[in-house]
Amino acid sequence: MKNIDEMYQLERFSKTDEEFELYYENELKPKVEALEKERLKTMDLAKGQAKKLILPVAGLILIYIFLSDLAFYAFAAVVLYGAYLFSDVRKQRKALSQKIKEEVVTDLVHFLNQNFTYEPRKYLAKKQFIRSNIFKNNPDRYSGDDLIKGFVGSDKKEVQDIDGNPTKTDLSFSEVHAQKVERYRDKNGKTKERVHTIFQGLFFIADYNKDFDGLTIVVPKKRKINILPSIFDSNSENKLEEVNLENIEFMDKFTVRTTDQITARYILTPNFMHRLMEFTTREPEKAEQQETQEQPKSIKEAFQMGLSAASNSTTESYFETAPYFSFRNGKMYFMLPTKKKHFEFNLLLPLNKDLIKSYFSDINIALELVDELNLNLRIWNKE
Amino acid sequence: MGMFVAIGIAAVLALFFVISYNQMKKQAVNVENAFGDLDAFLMKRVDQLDNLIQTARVATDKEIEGYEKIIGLREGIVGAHNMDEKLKAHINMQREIPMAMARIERYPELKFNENYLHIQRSINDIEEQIQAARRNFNSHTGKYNQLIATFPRNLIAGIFGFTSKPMFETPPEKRENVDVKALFNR
Repeated sequence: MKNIDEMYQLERFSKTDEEFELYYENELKPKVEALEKERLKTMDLAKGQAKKLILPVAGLILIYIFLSDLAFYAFAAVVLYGAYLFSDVRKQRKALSQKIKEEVVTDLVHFLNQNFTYEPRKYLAKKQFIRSNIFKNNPDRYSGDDLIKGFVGSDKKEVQDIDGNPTKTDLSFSEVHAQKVERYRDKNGKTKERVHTIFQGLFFIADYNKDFDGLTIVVPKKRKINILPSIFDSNSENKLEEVNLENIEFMDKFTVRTTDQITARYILTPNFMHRLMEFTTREPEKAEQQETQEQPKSIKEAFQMGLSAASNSTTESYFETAPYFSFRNGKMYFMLPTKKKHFEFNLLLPLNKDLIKSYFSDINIALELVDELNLNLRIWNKE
Repeated sequence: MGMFVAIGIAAVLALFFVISYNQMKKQAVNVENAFGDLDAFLMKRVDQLDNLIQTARVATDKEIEGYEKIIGLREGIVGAHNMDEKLKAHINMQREIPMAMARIERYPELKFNENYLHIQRSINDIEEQIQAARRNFNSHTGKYNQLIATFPRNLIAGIFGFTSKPMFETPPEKRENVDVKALFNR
């Protein structure tokens, strides 16, 4: 059954937690349980190999105490031996990671939207990142993975708007890591490199529901110093004007800069600003979950729960750092600086529903973006 | 010594006059430019409305009620000599448009006329652009009015004849929330 937005009678594309729970129980659970068994096997292998390292490490300590001249060579030998011992663990871990992506994430992607494709090794192109114009510096190093692309709505002829255009919104997103390399000379005159992260997180590109030319960027206020447009070279600051909009709350949170004041207001209507504010300042839904969480029964469980709390993330935590938006030539660029790897797992932590739910939330956020900002609403002319 | 102080004060005052005048002039030019943009969108809508009426006349083979009034209001806009007159003429047209649209929509044969629906959609789109241009114009006008109303610039504004400019207000009927559900069901 389709979810319908009451106000605009639009189909809602994001899924609820209840829908996820049901899907998990019916479809994913057996797969996740099988993968958890594989994780435990890998853990057993790791433990076995760790035991084999106890003697060499003890020997290394003795060498360090009694034959300190040889300590360096002994240390190198133990490191090499350790690397050899754990090479199988690494291989198994990598294979398991790949399996999780192929089996669980791919299924989740299709559960969330049949029209999405998932390519674990691909990512949104660097030129798209530069086109968004959000950051002053173009990245020198750019990497990523987990590309999900497709569309929401319908591309069928029978579901068209009044001008015969399909009522679909193209959408793609991936994890990206953009870095700037700064070269400098140290005290001895040697050239060295310092690497700064420009952005690490989820990068989304979606069709905007109106046609427009030019560029408008909406960035968090406190980051104003770092964010200057880059595409128009050194004179760019003069070409992008700051816009003062009527929504005081919005202007307190974001800085808006544009190539054209009217276009900025065409995009950022009072209603859209309101929706953008609601989307970026959503209340966390975590409270109830934490209250019902069980107490740890052992030190091991407490350790795992602590690790889990540190590494697990759900949709709400992304917004601890305000997202960036940019609108350029009919497209909307959206960046969530989550500063972490997505769709990954920790060998020390169980593969369970909580982890899979965090994957679900990462994908679902793209659909929530379409729903909350009404990106599939087509009451304007859009080619 | 006293003379130097007097010259210093006079120089500071002169500088303040020049800076204030330039600020006000610059802001007034911004308002005019913003109005130019708004005017272009408003005229585009008037033209599309004209197209809509012509399409309705052809499709229904009837004279559209109130067409003369629209023509008269359009002439009022074209014939306006300055920004204030044009603004008033546009506001008059703005009030008339919902009534004109309602009158046209009474003809059932238009409901499935593709040309008519296309123009209607185009007007819908222009409406959004007008809202953006109107907000831009009001923002510049607000800034200008604030500039010339605050002390001591209000004294300089009086000397150089800078007077406050009207905003482009939306008629009350436009402020009501649009029932999109009803629009789609229509």
